Amino acid sequence: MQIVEGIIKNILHFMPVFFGFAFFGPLFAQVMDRLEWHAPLELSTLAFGMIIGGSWGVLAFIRGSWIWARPS
Amino acid sequence: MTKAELRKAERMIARKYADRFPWEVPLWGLGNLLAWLSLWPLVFLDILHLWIAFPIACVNVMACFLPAHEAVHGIIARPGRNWRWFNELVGHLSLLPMAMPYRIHKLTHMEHHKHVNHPELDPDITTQSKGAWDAIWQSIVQRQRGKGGAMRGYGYILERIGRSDVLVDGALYQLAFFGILFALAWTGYAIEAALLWWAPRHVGIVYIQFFFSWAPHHPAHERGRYTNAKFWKSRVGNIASMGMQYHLIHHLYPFIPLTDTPRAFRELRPILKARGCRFEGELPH
Repeated sequence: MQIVEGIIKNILHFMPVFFGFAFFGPLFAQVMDRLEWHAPLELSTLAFGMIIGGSWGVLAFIRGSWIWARPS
Repeated sequence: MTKAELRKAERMIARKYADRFPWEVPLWGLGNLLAWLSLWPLVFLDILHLWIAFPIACVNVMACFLPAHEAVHGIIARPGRNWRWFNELVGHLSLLPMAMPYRIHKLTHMEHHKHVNHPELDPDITTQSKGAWDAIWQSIVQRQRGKGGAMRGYGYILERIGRSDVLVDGALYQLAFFGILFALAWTGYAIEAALLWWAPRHVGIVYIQFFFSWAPHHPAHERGRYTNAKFWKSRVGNIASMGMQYHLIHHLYPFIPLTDTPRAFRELRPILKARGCRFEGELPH
């Protein structure tokens, strides 16, 4: 039971990173596809979306916030 | 009238609203859930355009909170009554569009009632802010995990009252919520997931915190029974402001159904004035 609890706590702890890659990544890619935008450097829209979304998620995880402000 | 006479008269009026079966609460809570759930197949089957479904989903999230809040106070059936299971079912199901566990809402909301506007003990004090625009901004800022991580806010309150066991509900809800979003995103439905659930949830939470928590308590300094919330005239009307013009009635008598609070207020008004309640703007007679 403690192992399961540990796994869940870790998943939730790193959720901003997962969210950036696993949700924002494909979301940005699908928005770009719908708007017929092309990714730079001959990247696929998914790869580009993952870079942007994933980086944002990593930043959110480190800073504790998805925006510039943080709760005091 | 003496204080004792005022108290007696006040209680006699309040009790008149105690025993009605609030049929509108389950109808509202479960109907709203069904409406939100129906958006998914309607959008996926191209029957409803996503940009029409998005504002509807926002309204669904905004509307999902109050039936659960009524259930928290046992408005459908109090503990030990025959229909108690139904009260709890409505509470659990109504909150699904918001991905909020009912047990966490219930425990933290009861702490809010015990410690209204207390700077450390009221779980909803985080909505305290300088004005309306600041309240909206604070709703977004306070949702960030910050330095305290997941134990900020409600988690901290649950630990303090010795009910950290229900944090498991929060963990499971989060895993399910994010898991569904990820699955939808990776099967080509990221935009649908964003506009039917993720974004409406954020819009809905801002709206709920603004009207349910910030507006009726602002500036959230007073802690007296008759002054911890106020009677106020909302620019968008009573329905659009979640019926919160009469929120103090709820704090005084939580057993009165939400839809009866305007009538109870009109009957109680002279007593409430004598009690020194706060009034902002002219409410209908």
